[in-house]
Amino acid sequence: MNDLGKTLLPDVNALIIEKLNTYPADVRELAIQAIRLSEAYPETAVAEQLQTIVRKLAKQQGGNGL
Amino acid sequence: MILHKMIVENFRQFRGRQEIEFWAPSLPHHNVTVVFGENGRGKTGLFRAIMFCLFGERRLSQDGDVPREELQLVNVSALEANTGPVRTSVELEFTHMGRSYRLRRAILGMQDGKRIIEEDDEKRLFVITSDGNTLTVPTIEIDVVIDSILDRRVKDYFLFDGEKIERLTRASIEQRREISAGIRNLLNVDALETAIRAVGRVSKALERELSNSSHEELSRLLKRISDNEEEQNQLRKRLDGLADEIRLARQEIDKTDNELKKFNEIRHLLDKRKLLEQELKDQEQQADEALKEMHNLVCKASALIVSPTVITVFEHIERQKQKGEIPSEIRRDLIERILTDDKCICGRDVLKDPAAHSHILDWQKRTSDVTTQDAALNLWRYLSEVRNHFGDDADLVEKRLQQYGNIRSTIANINRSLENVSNQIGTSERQDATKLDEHRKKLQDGIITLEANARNAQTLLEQLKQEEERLRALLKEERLKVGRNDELSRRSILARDTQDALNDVHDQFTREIKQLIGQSATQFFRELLDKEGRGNLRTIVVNDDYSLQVLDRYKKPFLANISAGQRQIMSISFIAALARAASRGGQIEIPLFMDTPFGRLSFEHRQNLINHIPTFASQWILLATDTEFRRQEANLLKTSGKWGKFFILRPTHDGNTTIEEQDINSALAILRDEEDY
Repeated sequence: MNDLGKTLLPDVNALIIEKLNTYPADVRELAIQAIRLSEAYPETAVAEQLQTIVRKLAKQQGGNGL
Repeated sequence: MILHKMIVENFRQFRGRQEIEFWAPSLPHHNVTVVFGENGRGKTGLFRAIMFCLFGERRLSQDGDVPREELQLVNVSALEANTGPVRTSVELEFTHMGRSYRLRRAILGMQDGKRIIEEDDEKRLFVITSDGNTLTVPTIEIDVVIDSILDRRVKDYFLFDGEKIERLTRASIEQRREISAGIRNLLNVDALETAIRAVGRVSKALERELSNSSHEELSRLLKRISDNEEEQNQLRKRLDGLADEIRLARQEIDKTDNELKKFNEIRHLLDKRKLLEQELKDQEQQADEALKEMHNLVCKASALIVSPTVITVFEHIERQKQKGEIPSEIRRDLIERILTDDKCICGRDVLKDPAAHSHILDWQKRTSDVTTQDAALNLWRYLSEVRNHFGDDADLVEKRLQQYGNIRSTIANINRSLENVSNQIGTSERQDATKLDEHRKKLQDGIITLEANARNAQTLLEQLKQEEERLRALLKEERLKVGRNDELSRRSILARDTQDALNDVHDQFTREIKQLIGQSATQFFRELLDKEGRGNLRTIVVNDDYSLQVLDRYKKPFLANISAGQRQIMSISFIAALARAASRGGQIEIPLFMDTPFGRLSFEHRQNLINHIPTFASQWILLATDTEFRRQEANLLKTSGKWGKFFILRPTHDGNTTIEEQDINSALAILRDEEDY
């Protein structure tokens, strides 16, 4: 049985976030932030805020010696 | 949402204040309402009133390109009888998730010379709390509250014309779009889609920055990807444009057909042509499916080309086997040892017996080495298996080719008949009819060209997608070469990977919902089908391209062979599945409106709808004419114990309509039997 029953519940984004669990931490983090921002802001505003988050995450990656 | 009551005032055919009660508190489980009336009496007007009240919409999806001035809501005779503006309003009382609501929307209609002007006047929503208090919802929030009860994007699925709904099963670009839109709206993943686009913007901006970097190969790849994406966008726009053009051309054909029907002498020919065109479409669909099956057979069929060689080789080894040469009676290594040692295994000196020596030499010639023998035996076994399949495969290929040939010859016959009928219409004595028909023919030819263009664009799009995938793989490698130490590169990789991850999640959702809707539609389908259909038809599938398919008991596509009634049942099953999904898998808390519900259905199908729909929908409202809702159907509905309300739409002396409630027991006296027709 797939988990569609759940996808049709109002908090569909919770399920999306659950599905992102299988991805690397930084990808997951950026995706979650993008979804959360998209719940409240239009596309252009989300993109602007994401630039900063991407920069921060990429710096952390560099700091971790990746 | 359960509709309780609607009050209309000077709305379309309904002059003055009139009300219709869809649900009686004393009979909470009687969830079926029948609104009975001749065509043109205002059955669809009632649905229009609901859509206007809930969403402020004046145009229904089925209105097509009917001009706006023909879609006025104000009652014209009330307007003519008044010197000033006339107030037109609709008030709806409904419950949803245990709460009661009262929604009112009004406009003012005014005469301006020959034109009628309509202006918004009032929009109010009241929520009645459990303690009986009435709260007024601020005007700015009304649409949000209503959308949370019934999303306007899926509303069109819950009113449908029974006779036209079978269009969902027609494999055309427009239908695929419609089904895809229904499923996408249902997914309710707006935030995810915004997120994908926003991350895409970031990724694109970073890739632009990177393409200006000093890494030549990286810049080259990014440029090619960007060009590829641009081409894909252009093609998508082109596909949308083509689908719109096809839809408009079809609407124009329908309009032309209606014009042509005014010429009585060719009316029967027009009906015949419509049937032939439908038949042609079905056959073409069947031909497409046969072609797809043949495509799957290509692998097997290619082996048939080498069948003579396979048989020759097999028979050669077989002969050697028969002669005992493979495997040889005596192993070659043993013979060689005897010849080297000059001693037989019995101890005899072989050189002393020339006859025996020459016999051994003969054996040596005839035997091959062990590896060759094993290989020959393996080859023999493999070819034996392959050879056994040749017969079956050849039969299958021949059968499919024959089937395809038959379909093509049927298509050719239909085309000949079509040409014949069209010629007869074209040579009508009425010059205006001939002109209209020429116009129709041009439109028809135009559709063929548009559809071919759409198919080509789709193929090109698929090729571009594959190319993009290849380029992205190369880009990934190149970026790793450039190194993760480069921060810009790291940012770009992260944004792109995130976009891919979000797209994957979106795809997973779409796949799952398609599967769920297919399963749910199959369940409804099996309940609603008649015995004959149940015996053969098994599963409804939502294909990857969003077309619907039905599989027979052998899991083979069977859509092209099903009747118009079965198509209608299949479409209703699909809609019921969508509605169930929209209702979070429980009972469908959305009223299902069906206009002309039974027109094309057999009695057994009608019986099944009457028995099952009231059990899975919270409310079923039938807008029926006297030719489809007869004593037989009324009896069934009455026996089901679900029938609560019965209304008749009656004409008045001034050309308007009054809504008259009747006791359901008296319905049987009013309605007619099948034999009366």
